[in-house]
Amino acid sequence: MRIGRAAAGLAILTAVAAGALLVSVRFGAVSLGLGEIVDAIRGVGAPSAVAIVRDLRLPRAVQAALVGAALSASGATFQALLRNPLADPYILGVSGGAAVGAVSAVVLGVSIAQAWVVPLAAFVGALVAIIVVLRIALMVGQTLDTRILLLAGVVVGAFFNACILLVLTFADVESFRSAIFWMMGSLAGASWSKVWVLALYLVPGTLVLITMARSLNLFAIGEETAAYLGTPVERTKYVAYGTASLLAAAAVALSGVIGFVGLITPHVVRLIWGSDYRFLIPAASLLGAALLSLTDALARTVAAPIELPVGVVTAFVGVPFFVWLLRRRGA
Amino acid sequence: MFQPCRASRTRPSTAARAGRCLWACALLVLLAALGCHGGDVPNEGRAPSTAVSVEDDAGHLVVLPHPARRVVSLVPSATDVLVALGAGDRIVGRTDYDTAPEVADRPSVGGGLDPSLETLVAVEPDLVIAWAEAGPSSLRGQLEPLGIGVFGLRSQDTTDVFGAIRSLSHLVARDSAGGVLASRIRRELAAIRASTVGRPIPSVVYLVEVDPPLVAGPATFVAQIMGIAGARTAFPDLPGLWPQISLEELVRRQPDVLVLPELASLTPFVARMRNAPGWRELRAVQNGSVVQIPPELMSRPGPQIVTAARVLRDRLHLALERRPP
Repeated sequence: MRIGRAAAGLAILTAVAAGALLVSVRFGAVSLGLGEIVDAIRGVGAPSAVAIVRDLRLPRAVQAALVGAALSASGATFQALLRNPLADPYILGVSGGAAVGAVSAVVLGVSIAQAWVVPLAAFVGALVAIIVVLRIALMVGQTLDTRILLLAGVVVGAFFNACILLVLTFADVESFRSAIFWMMGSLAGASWSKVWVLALYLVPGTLVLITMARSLNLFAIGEETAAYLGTPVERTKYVAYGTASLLAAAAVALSGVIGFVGLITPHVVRLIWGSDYRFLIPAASLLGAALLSLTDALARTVAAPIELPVGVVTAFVGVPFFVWLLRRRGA
Repeated sequence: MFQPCRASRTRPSTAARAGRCLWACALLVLLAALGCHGGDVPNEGRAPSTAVSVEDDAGHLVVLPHPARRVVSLVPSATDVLVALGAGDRIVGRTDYDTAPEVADRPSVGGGLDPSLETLVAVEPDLVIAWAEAGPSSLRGQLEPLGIGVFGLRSQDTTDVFGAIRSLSHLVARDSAGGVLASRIRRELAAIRASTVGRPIPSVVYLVEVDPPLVAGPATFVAQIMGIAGARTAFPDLPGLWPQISLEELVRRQPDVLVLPELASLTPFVARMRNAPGWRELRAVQNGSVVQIPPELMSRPGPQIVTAARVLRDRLHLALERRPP
């Protein structure tokens, strides 16, 4: 892919992401005028408007963008690593592990007083899943076979889902409801501290993945070819697996299981610009950021004050767009 | 990705279902509460003059500079308590699940567990009553920095009704109204209980779902209400709050009366129960001893537990009277 075309593509996507962020700050469940929003950002005007814009809407828009970016970078990497177009950030059981952690914390009676317990429990659950899947995959053969890794991820995920159902069977109704809300994924709990935590994972994580992009390109062709062409295949697999999993874990821990974004944005970028991972990873991240902040804005305004599950809106917006894109490519 | 079958339900039915099932704890606890008047007021009067501080049901100390003037209630039973305390005019926001006509004109902030925070902040409350059990909600972390007090309320069983009255009346500086309300409820419940003394005690099963059968366990609010209404649960030995049981076991136990919530989704089934395999083996079905109760009565441990107990008592009595000799 030529440098000029890549730069143009990234510029367009950056503009789209910035536009999406602006739109999601502009619109919310409470309708505020443009002037009121600008005033609120500067910290003047009605105290409730300032609180709404500065403490609720802005961090939520930014967190949506970061989660979208993390899931997209993670999904793109898994698709290369597993050479499977159906791979998404959750395919190797990260979401299952996180859900077991979160649901257990909820059912064991974590109260609203402890805001960080559930994200921490989810993150620990995700880490356990990452390690267990890797251990199982390494039990077979001398090296890490990505086909075995995929199988290990799927069975571990299935096992964790069974654990969740078991825990929920004995949960009281309130915990049950809270757990289901968590699993549907939501950005309603967004805060600046969560934004910083996410950024702490997203920025280095994405940079690592971009530096590995050449290896991932070769990897997508085949492991042997990649090895012949000088890629440190084993190291690439470990680093890619670890980084993509950590990105997904951080996103899931802070926002629950938000589906579809991580699966679809890499494909959209591939359909429009081709599958050079040096471009695809940053581009998919930007597109994911734009998509999720935009769909979250829709999720909280369409039926306000009821919030729709953001995963539902993402699929409702994303699927028609993707089908249109596929048709256009086919024509 | 995990996709539980129940999550795919539409909002109202999830809510209705969850609304139907908000209860826990044992009849013994209630009787103890009936016996001991008053109880200790949590941390009352620690702060000077107008400031109010109460420990909430999540163990968190809620401190307000003055009694709450603008309240958003995310817990429908708390809304009912506030209205009963005569503080309905201080409610500035409610949820979509509130049914009290007194607050119908207040803006809704969406669901109780997933409110729209923007809408909530826009009504400028000084106190938010939230679910104590709502785990993943970071409501407190988000609202307290904005100067909004968050009180986590436990609302599961009949003892929680008295806890809610005590805490909420203190938060809105209506302690004496709270005392009056609590003793009135205690008196009326005791009267209902007394009115059934001497009658035979029917065994009753409350079915919240029929396919598969989900019944109220002995630790639920419903089982407590049954006890007050002069009945006993046919499943005193079940673990968990709302366990799923087999139809075989239901047939084996032959409860005297089946009680179901009055829901559009269940009424057609009740109509054809006599012909339904398994269900037709139940003597209660053959005798027509199947009772339906408005779900809102059996779902909310609030001041209307009195009505719930009274309605249940009367309908059970009627069903047993109708029974062929």
